[in-house]
Amino acid sequence: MEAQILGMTAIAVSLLIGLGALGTAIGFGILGGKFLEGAARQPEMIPQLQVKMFIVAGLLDAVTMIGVGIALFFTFANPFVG
Amino acid sequence: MHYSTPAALKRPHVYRLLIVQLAVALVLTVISALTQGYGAAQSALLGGLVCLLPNLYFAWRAFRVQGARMARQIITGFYKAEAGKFGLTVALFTIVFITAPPSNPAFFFGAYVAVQLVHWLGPWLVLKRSST
Repeated sequence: MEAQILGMTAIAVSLLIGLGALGTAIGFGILGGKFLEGAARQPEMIPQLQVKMFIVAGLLDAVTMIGVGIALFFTFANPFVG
Repeated sequence: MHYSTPAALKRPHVYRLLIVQLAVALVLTVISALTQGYGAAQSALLGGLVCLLPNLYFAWRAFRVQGARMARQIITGFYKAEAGKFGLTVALFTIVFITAPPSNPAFFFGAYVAVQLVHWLGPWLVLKRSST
């Protein structure tokens, strides 16, 4: 039973970290592309766009980072194993 | 042709976000110490620091390159900053769980999530008060 729980936990941890990283990567790809579009249209706006990109990047990966924390908690201190 | 030096560029006010994150971590540590004792306070402090240190790295790395002619370098810097933040978060969680497991996981994750959610105040903290 414990081996099954550990196996399922390993799959869950892989999904949490992998899908979180995938979502962040897609978001950052779109964000970077839009930044380059905006920079090409109005180069004088680049400093403002850089600050806005920093804020959106923080919002983008906040949930992912929480997921990473939960995944590593399950890895090192699995609460489902007695 | 004259190029302006990087020192002439005004730094954006992103440090306000980091200061508020540090303040939230410290307030939660004090609240934990007063209500639950030393173990909970240590857990809350570790949770706050695990969130804050990667954010410090991200802010430093993302704003190393500035300027109107540096669009591609800025994007590359942001990608490297995000990869570093992700790796640093995983490394810090691993170090904490191996060397000093939090005695109170609820306060550890509570502080981590609270400091992380300060990003939701980013538009107000950085944009509203910034002249950039």
